[in-house]
Amino acid sequence: MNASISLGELQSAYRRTSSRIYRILEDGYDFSAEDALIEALNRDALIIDAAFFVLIFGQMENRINELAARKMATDQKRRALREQKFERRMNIALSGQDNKTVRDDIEGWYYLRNDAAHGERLARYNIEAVFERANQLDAMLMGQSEAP
Amino acid sequence: MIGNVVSDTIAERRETPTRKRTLQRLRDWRSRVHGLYDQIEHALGSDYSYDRTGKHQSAEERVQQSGLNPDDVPPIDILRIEQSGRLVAVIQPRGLWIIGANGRLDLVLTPRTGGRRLFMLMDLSSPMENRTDWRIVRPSDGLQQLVFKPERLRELLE
Repeated sequence: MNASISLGELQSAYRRTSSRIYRILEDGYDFSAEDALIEALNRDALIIDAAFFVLIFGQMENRINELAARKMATDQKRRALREQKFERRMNIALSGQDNKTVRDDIEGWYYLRNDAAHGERLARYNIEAVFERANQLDAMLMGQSEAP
Repeated sequence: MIGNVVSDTIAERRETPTRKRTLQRLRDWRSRVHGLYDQIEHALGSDYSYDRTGKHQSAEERVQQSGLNPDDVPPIDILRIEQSGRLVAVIQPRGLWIIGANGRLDLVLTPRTGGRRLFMLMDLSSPMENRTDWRIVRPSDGLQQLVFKPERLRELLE
């Protein structure tokens, strides 16, 4: 079994997992907006969304690490790169003014990922849209890795 | 384009909310939701009756961070749809600040066949973009985000 996970596999897993939670939510749904069961299930859904957001970001971080490593001339520099902060690795992977918008975008994801990973501030997500944007960013990063 | 709403909502979350901006967003949310209700009532017509007396008031994190009192928060209608005295659907605002969406409503249907069916209505426009892009999602059935057409609601109700 291949240990690496693709965005597509994450998306399929998310659909299966969340649809189960929402089936329970649907079964328990009453017209009382304050229903405690609904609130608890909504919170479960929120936690699942946050967990998947962390996993989605992990895929993007892997891609950035690969890009940055390719720009290093020696194995020693590649090893040293692993110790660098994320922002530094991203600046190496996506250098130049042309990449500023993508860098700003991914930096926003990075801070949101930290919030989710540390459980400090849970956000609500529309994860389908997040996957779509992650695929767009991933395609941009792939384009960078294929550039001469 | 969906990419923009994700980037824009992530960027907004990193900003410190101001009272003015939060009130602008809440008023815009109310206007979009009430506009959608008007479209639904128009599309379904007089075969159904509508009750908008129930209200939802956001108590989301950004509202609290902005220092707004409950009295400052514009109430948003909850739409109850009945047919021949039987409740057939409720649309309940769920939240405005969502990564990747400009607000979410829950649509709960009670079909004649029994049970409940939960849908989400999500606006995929970017914040303060002066347009709407409502999508309907049945979360227990995969997560396809289809364009929501109010006239199609009749099919779901029957």
